Amino acid sequence: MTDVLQLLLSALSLGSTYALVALGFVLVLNATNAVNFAQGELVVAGGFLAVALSPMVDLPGIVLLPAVMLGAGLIGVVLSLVAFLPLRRRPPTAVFISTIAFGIIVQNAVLAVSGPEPATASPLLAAGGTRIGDTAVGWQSLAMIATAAALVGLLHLLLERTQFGRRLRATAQDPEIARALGIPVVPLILVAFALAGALAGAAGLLVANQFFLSPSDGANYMLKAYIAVVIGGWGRTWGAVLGALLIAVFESFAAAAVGHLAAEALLYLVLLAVLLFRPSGILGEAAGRRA
Amino acid sequence: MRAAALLPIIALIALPAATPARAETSATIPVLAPLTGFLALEGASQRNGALLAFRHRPAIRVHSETVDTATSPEQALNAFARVLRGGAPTAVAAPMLGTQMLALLPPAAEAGVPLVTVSGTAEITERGSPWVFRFFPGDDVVKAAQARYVVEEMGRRRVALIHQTTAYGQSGRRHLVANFERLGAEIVFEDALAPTLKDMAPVLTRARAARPDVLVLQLHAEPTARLVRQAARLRLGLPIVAGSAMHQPATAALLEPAELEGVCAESGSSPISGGSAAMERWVADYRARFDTEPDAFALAQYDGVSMVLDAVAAGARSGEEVRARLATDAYEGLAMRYRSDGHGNMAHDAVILCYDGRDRTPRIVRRYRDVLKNG
Amino acid sequence: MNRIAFWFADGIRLPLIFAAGALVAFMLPLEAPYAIRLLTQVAIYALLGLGYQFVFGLAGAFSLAQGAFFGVGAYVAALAALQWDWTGNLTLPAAVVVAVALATIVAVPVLRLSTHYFALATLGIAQVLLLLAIGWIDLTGGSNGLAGIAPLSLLGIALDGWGGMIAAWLLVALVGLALYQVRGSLTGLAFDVMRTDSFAAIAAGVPVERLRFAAFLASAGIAGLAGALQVHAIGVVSPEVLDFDIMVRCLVICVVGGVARTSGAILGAFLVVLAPELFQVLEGYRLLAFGALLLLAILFFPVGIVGSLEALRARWLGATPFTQKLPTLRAPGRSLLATTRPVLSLERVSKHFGGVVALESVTLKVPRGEIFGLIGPNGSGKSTLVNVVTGLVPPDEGRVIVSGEDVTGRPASRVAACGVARTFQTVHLHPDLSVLDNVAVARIGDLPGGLFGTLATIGADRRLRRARAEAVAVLDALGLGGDGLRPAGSLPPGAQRRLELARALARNPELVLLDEPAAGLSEPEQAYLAERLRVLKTRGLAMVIVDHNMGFLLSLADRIACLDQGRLVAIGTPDQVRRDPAVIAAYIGLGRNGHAAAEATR
Repeated sequence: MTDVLQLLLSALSLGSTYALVALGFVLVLNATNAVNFAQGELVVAGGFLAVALSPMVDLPGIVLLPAVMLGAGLIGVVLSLVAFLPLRRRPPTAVFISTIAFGIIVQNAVLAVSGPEPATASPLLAAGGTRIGDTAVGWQSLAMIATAAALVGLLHLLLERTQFGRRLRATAQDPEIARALGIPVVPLILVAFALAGALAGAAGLLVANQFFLSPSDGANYMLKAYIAVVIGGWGRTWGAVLGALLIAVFESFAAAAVGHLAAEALLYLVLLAVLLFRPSGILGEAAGRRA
Repeated sequence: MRAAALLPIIALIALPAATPARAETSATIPVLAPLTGFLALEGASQRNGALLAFRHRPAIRVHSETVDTATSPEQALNAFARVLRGGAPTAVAAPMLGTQMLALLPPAAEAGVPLVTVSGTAEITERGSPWVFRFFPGDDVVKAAQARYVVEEMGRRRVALIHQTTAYGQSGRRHLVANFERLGAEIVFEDALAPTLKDMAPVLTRARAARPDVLVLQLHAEPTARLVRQAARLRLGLPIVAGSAMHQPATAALLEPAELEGVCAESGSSPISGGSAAMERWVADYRARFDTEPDAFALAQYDGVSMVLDAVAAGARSGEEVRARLATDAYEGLAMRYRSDGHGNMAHDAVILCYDGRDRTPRIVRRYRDVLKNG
Repeated sequence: MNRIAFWFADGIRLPLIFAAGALVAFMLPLEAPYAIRLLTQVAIYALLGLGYQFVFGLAGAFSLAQGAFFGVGAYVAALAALQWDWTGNLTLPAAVVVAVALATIVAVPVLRLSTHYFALATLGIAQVLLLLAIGWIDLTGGSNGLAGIAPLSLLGIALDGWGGMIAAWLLVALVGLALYQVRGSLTGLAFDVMRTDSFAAIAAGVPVERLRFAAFLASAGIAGLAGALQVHAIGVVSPEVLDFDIMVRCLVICVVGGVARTSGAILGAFLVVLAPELFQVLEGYRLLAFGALLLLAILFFPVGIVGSLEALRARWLGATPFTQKLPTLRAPGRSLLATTRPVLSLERVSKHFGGVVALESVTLKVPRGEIFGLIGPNGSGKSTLVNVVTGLVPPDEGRVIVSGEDVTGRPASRVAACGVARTFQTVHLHPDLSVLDNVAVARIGDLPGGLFGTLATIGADRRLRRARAEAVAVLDALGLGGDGLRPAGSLPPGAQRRLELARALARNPELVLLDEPAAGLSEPEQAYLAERLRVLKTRGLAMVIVDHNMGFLLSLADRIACLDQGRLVAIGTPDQVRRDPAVIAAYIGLGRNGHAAAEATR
């Protein structure tokens, strides 16, 4: 029982950052129908931004969150300006390459600016923790889950309660009709990329303390986000969140049962089995979406 | 350098850094190291160590270029072919990635170029190539020291062994298992981790369930730190004896000193731990030049290249002449005394260092000289 | 002989000039060993990219397993060379065979997935293989890999250096020719249509599943070959050959070079191999420069270097003239009146979507030579009925029998093979292809000779020539003969509808289902269409026509059925149906509900 709680806590704290990454990925997908392969590198960029902003000063990480999200959001805007908007009316494969190229640039820019050393940032609120029974409960783990949940909640309000959210959902459901209704597309795209960057940046800040960062981490986050979005149903916003948490929990418990290498293989085998029986993901595909 | 004719702009950046003018003898020693990818940290150490060695020998005009080998054998071969284009170099500082070294052995033999490396992978000196020289103690040396310290000094008998799925992890694991068996310790738990793995809770809870009395690690720098931090958070209460990655200042920098308490590691040396005036001077010089902390890989690469430069100063000009000297001479380096065992293994000493929880500088607690002979 | 020479000069001119030019330009300023090493690498990646052109370029399937098949080929060749001491001329075929066998096994569950689910499934397979290579240490040597693999050898002569490079480029030329041949054939046309619009492919009777399968296997085999070459070129194998990085390079090669193009794969390979090498002078910053170059490349050449060059050529010199002569040939179509068996019979067919009833126990028969009208308010299930018959959606209950054969639940392409053709409510044509080729592709089911026939043909594909000739006859019959060489997208809407009909007829069907063929047509156009359909009826063709336009159907159809909320409420001659109270009630119901709601369920 102790172990189960311990594993769950750890998996959910990591999974909540995967969820933020996947959420950003899906927002861009819904606004533009484009696959953003740079999403993982934005996590690294955001994380290293947090590291750069918090040298030596003993400020808790949560104070840096707005600045990091703003900075990473700006990178997201740059991404859309240089790698998406010019190719908007081109074959979708062109955007694969442009976002991959942007990701390579970000990764190596981080390497060039901050050096090859892995990095860590200060904890969100405080280091240390408490114990419940035999379970070690780190403040950082709780703060990660709470911060991610708060961000997801804010995003929910944004999508459900604002005109931007309605427009984004309309575009997601049927881009043709949205265009016909005169929804301004470019601002919507910019905001979606900014949000994707901000969420990835937040994820970078969240992981940096307990799980560290290294310039070559991006591909792993990208992979997790991609799997999360597919099993959650291509284009389903909350499905992506659920998918991300599922992956983290599955990985953790499978690894605790059979070891890490076997668990990783098991993840992919289960994934293949799921696709075999549910060819459109666990939750099914969002209506009207077929990229 | 004729390729640059295609790209004149790049050629400007490309010109090798000018070496001091008042030089009579000259040598060509390109540096091949993984500057991008997941071994970029170690690759940078290799490059810095080699460059510092050049700088400390102003009497020899060294022609060098630094070539990134990333992480695949294919790119290492491309890099090697690249540095051959102006004729065979005197020697090559070769990448520390084992698979890359294995790929480089045949072309190096064909071109007659000594490879000076710090790669720990045992197999590179087991294939009978006379052209490879390893200046960091191989896995057979450091893993023997690590296992002996665990069993003989710490008196631990129930080992939880956690290693990486990479070549470094698998090669080290093989030697650890053999050494623990020889020493009569039981491996009660074992798991292999991908370097990208973030969540260490599963492996730690599983390890705890096997009731070990020590955690033995064979992980790269960042995963080592991650495991140490998460083990501290879970209050596992087990001593940790890590692989050489733990000695790297970049690893310790990720952790709070308190988390490091009771953590030990093997290494070939530990420059920042000091020990002699020459070492402290070297460390200060390194910091001043590269604005980062040196590790044992940088020092070993420095010693290796210095030995090559010694051979050049003593009159060796061709690759073959340098090879002959490296194969027979002894060299008093900063980290230790180097001499080939006949297979190209130059380093035979290992150290065990431990952190005391007050700062991030490890203290050397045990020195194993000539590990394999005195085992 | 002259023809062969002409074909050689005409077809592969561009790729050859590119390859030779780049080769020379690069060889000259560099010392030989470095150049040989890099050019061998270019050839290996070109081969890998050429393979990917089949599944990704031609079939349009976003496979992420291409890198994995490369790795499998590498490991197979390495094991064969080390464990069993096979020499190079056997390791290559072994690598190909194993890669293809593996592809065959995984194709069964994976190929039926669409788009990103397919991508993720192939990625999953690649990851499992990578983990196997790392974990199965006894076989693969684990992460340390296996070393000491000898260079290729042929008849006892070691092919390293120059020899290895030439051998690799010969293989590139061979596979490049194969790709070129396929692209220019009737099969290539079919690939083009299925990549652009899957509905158009179904309407044209393109055997989508079979082509996807063939392309997947071809890609895997070629990737395996490239992997084996790689292993002989570098002498070691380690899990890096299964790394996702290889897959990324593969994508870059095909997209930046030019999708589905031989020359594109070769150019792309030059880019991914040489650019990072040229940037070596930047040391640690080289990948930064490479990323920037990649971004610029795709911004300047969004449809690939080759595609953009061709677009430029078209802008400056005008589009390549279409040199095909248009011979007249016998119209396809034979008399179908020999038997009296019904062509189509539905037995108690039901279909529900969630809680909504689309079809409820519909039973009907359509004999030969009948024009069968199907009316009903919007959302009454007319289009669903057409979709069920043509295999686009499987029925929940009941049976669909075409010419005596039970086709219930079969995929669309298999139903199409039974002589069923259709048009869509919204036009599904390949807008960039000529009118002629939009019809010619529909001949693919009837003309003998498949992919192998195409590959064995030297010179222009005879099958394609014949398909075009037959297409001309069909176009003439529908009054489109004069527009044959225009792009289909440039036709007016009425003509596009007739073109869809032409494509359906070109398949020589026994049954055609027309979904609102008169929508958007002017009165004279409608009359012309009706006249054409009557001619077809005399040949014995059975037709099911769905339309709102009662006037059009009443004068044309032999019998009419009316659907209301999925149920067949009336069936009989036009006169009977027009007076049927159930029909009148159904249409008055429509007045209440309006159009918009019903439009959504189509």
